[in-house]
Amino acid sequence: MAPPDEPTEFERVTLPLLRDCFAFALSLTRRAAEAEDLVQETYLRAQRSFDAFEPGTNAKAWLFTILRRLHIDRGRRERIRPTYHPDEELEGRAIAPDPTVPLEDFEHVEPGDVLRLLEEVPEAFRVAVRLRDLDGLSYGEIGRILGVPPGTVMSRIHRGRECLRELFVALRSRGRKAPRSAP
Amino acid sequence: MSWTENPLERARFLDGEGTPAERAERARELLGDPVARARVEAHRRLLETIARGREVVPSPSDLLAHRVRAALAADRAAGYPSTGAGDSLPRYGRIAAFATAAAAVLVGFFVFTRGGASPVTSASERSVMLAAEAYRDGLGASSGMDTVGGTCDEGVASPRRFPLVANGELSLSSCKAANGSDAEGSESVSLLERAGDPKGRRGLVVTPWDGKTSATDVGYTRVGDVVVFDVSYGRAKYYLATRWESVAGTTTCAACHGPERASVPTRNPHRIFERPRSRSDR
Repeated sequence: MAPPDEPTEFERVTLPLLRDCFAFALSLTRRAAEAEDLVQETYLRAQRSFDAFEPGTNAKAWLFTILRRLHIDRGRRERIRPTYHPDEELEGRAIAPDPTVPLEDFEHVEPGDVLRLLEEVPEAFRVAVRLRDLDGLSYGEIGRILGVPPGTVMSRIHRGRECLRELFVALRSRGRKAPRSAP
Repeated sequence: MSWTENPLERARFLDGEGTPAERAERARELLGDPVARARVEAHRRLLETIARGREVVPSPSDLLAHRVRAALAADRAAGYPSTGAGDSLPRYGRIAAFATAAAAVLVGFFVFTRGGASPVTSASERSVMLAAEAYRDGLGASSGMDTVGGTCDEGVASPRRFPLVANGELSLSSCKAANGSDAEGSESVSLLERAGDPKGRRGLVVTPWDGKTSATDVGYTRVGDVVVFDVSYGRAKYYLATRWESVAGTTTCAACHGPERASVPTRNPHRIFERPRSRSDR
């Protein structure tokens, strides 16, 4: 057992991921205080089940899975509909081949624009995009976090990216940056 | 039809999905097909643009890591067993969690009222007295302190770094350098207030500290009718003084954070120790 002031093995593995967990929690709750509470609850839950974590697997994906389930549990307790409202009809629709891809450049898009515009993407797609493109998780890991098969993950990521692409183009046509959200 | 005409397949390739053999085969195809390569490159630009968002991913407050570590330590101290059930606790987990929380409250109450194990750091007698005097002086009509620059605003001994000030629970009323030197990093002494609470005034001394942080351990020293809590955090030791009567019998962190924390033992659950006085109370 580690001395009281030394980080435990669990802390060594998970505390470097605190920022990622907070960012993911914030994307679900949209309120910083609520996100911090959710992160703390996630870490407590994760510590209690750390012996079930397989060393060498992705600790971030493991924490995110716990975090999302806790978020859904909270929604149930507060009689709020769970986080995800996928548009089944949209997801089930075949994605048409895309023979002509315009040569778009997105040099006008700044990092802050990406996060602001991501907020305009429907939640099911937004979460999938951020888990892939901001957190770097694989389709399989995202599927386990969201509880959906890899095919659905691919579909959601694609829809989310297409939404973002349209928003990037609209941003350029407006000739200005996305409006900054209030501090 | 080339796989590059299907956006899902392009995404699979660019996201690094698929077997190594499949990926190598597709990479070879792209080498010989400029049109297909252009499609993939256009798709890649979109993904790289989205990935720019990583540069501005929001960060939690500085306190979150401290808070999480404290909660984890308290959870371990409470002897919460690992369930071995992965991330899905059994249905009775909530009952166990409730029982643990209740036990933590009782343990905290016992520790606070009866004294606990030995503290891991020592408290400076001088700093304890300074904090107590700051609190007592602050009760008068005029504190005689001014908010100035130097150590009060910058450096490791600035009261602005005190977690309860940084998170807005307490506000800085006045401050001065403790030893007359206002050089950044010298000891500071301050008065703090809690908005809307006339009895929420606190004395605070902040001393640079090179030792090991032990933010989960809070010592307290009684100085007559005043109690001075001390904690090391970051690169400073903080001495927070208030009236003993206002906290006596209060469980755990609610003593400093206010009564709203009394019902939430898992939030900032410090271990609180009574420190012996080397001299009689003044």
